[in-house]
Amino acid sequence: MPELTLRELSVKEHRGPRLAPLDVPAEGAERLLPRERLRGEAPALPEIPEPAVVRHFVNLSVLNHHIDKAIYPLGSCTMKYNPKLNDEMAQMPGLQAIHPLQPEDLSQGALAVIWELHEWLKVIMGMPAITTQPAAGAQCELTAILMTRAYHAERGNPREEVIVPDSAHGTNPSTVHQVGYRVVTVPSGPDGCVDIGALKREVSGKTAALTACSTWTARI
Amino acid sequence: MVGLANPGSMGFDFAHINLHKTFSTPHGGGGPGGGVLCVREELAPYLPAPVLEQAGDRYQWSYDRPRSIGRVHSYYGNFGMIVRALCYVKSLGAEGLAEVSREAIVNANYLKARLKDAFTPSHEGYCMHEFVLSAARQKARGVRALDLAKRILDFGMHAPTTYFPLIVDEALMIEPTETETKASLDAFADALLTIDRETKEDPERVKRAPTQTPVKRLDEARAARKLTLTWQDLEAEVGGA
Repeated sequence: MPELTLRELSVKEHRGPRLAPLDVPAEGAERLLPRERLRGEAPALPEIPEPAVVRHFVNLSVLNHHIDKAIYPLGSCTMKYNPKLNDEMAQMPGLQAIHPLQPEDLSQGALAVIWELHEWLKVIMGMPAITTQPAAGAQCELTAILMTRAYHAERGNPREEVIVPDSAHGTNPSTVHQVGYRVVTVPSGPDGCVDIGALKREVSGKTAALTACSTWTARI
Repeated sequence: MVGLANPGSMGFDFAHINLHKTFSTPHGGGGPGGGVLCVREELAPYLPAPVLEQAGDRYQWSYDRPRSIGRVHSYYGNFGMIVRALCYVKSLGAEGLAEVSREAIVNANYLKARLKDAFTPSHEGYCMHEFVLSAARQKARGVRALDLAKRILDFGMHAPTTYFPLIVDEALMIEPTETETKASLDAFADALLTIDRETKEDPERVKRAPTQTPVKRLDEARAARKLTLTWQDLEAEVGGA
């Protein structure tokens, strides 16, 4: 049976919690707001008891599949269970209330969190420099290819081509194209890995970078 | 591969990973992503500005980066995800992270071993954390990878990735991850083997699927071609009913 909307579940006078009587003088909206800001009739808000509201949202929560319901073996996506503790930490009031425009002297704790994660990730990746600015994978690809162009341009020749395996994620060739490079596709061999012979034939002085899928890695 | 191998020692100049999913921000609802790009020393000057620096006991953003490609995102990335990721790596520790990788690899190989007689693996031998099966044999019975994926939904499980990578005919790409128990892996394998049997005995049942879900089989392309993003769009579509 389809889940009804809150408006369809509404029954007149079926209220949720009762508000305590006012212990201060009542001020009508007409005394607090200019006349043109007052609505002509009461808003048509749904009137539903609290348990019915809870059931409504619990029912909605199980209509879609999610990792808290069952296995989610979507290849190339790592749809694993993430510990709730980590969500709780991210919701700590001190971390929730900070603002990125706050002065650095008042953000030292947050910066320490970023710094410490950078140190962990540099060890995990075996690489000395890092950014966590990109919003996600495709933007990391874009960042990497823009950096590739900047690196080569500074050496006098931005080059023309980026080599992408035919098994790559679709964002790889689109990123390459977006930065203005030509996509050169190399086929996979029978073992599913890049055909090394074909790769050697394609690499030339025009090659700006070689990319590897789908955990995206590249070599200039 | 976290904790077992790393792209730096393989000679890569750039390597990207996600904070979402791998490093503990749940994904699947279109929520925030977080990208990590690591580079070798010679490429560091080109990183997006600002770059976080440590100066004594203080941290500061360095904006003086004349060779930087500039910003790619407002402010400093998605901070909530950075907190989750730090909590995740610190609570597991170095050995725990390596164990996560080993279990992800063992789980994938266990599922591959259970399924390889009914579905043709794209490649023989051991896999890493995921593997690809071809449903070419099922296709010969008139049932495609898409039908198999829809039928899995009737078992209360999410389908594998289908038709990726493009180089494998009728691809089913399966990544069980480290967070499933053996019972859960077995239930998934049993479901796929049951569906394989159905492709021989009652293929129409698979092609009609899903029948146990809130919505049945949807038009694969319509949502991308006919956008209904607001209630006004919906009213226009259903005629203001």
